[in-house]
Amino acid sequence: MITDEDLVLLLQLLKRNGNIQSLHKQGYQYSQIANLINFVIEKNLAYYTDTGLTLSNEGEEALLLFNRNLRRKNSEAMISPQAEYKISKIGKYEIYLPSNIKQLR
Amino acid sequence: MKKRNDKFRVGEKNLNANTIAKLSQIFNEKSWEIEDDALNQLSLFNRFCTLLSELTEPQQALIIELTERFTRIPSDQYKIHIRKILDQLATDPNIDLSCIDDIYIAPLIAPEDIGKTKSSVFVQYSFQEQFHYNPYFAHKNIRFVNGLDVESSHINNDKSLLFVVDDFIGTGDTACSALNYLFQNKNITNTRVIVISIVALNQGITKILDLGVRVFTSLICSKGISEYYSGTQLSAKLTLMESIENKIKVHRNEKLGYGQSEALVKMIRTPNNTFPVFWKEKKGRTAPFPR
Repeated sequence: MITDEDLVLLLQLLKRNGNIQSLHKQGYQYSQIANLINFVIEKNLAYYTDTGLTLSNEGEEALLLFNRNLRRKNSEAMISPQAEYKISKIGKYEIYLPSNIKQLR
Repeated sequence: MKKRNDKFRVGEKNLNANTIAKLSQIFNEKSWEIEDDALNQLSLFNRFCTLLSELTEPQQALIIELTERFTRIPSDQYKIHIRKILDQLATDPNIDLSCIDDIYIAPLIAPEDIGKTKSSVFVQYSFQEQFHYNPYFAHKNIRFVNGLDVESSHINNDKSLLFVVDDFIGTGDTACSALNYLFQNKNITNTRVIVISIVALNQGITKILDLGVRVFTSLICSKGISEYYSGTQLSAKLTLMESIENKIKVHRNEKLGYGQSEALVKMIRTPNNTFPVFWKEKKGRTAPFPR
């Protein structure tokens, strides 16, 4: 079952033909993402055009509604926070190293 | 400041919504299953997406185009194709089945591979079931040959035929090696032999015909890029495929598939004649149709 936050992200990605890796990194298999896209099309929230997928009026309205429910405004309504990079709160004096320390310069 | 370009960047994956939607459409058109299973990372659809995510957008577009023309024949569909070939044989004006009493069936196998587990042996046995239900063959004596061990006295007469069967003929090298073995070591006459394959490439068929042997197939495959595009589009697509093959470190003998066959086919096993991007697994890389 998809959460409201993830559905907003999916609609945003479909609207801008975005990189679906952000959904994949949140634990969705590619096949699950494809099935979610099919579900969104079945519900008339998106449709195919000559250039690819685009949101329908119903899709735009759904995006607006979900953003309102999640209290997202302005840029937040267009770009979802990258939840996959969120970490749980740690103590002030705890030392934290990112998983890929080789990238540290 | 580093500029973003079209070249592949190590570790960065990209797969946009339109590409995954297009792939999903192709899967639906081909009736390939898209599993909705969170645990199976290695399903066919996920394997395809993993492959695509490591390519640039123009490379992805080429793989999508080739996938649209890709033929996948699982083992449970072999009987449909065998039935089609038997109908072709029965209606061929150059073959008079009414005077044939005995049909010998041998697997198409290179002499050095005799005794090994090959898909041609599976095809050999798949034929038996179909013979029973075909009015032209049901009353013939069907005899199975072990490897290529046939007696010339059984084959070289007007009442017998030798069917040499397989599921795929690529460059024709294996077929020619088997046929030459039959001619030279077993003294079989070429006119008594018929090669049957579910799928064959044009180049393989030509080689077999050059030996004076008839060939019957259910499906003939042409080259996936060279025989589909022309002019500047052809050279652009070949360059694009070369860039993919360089990226996945394909051996020079395997470039564009063994013998540069450019095949787009998967049977029980994926032939190495198919573009290696579809089967090459190296250093943890995932391919859609591993061998």
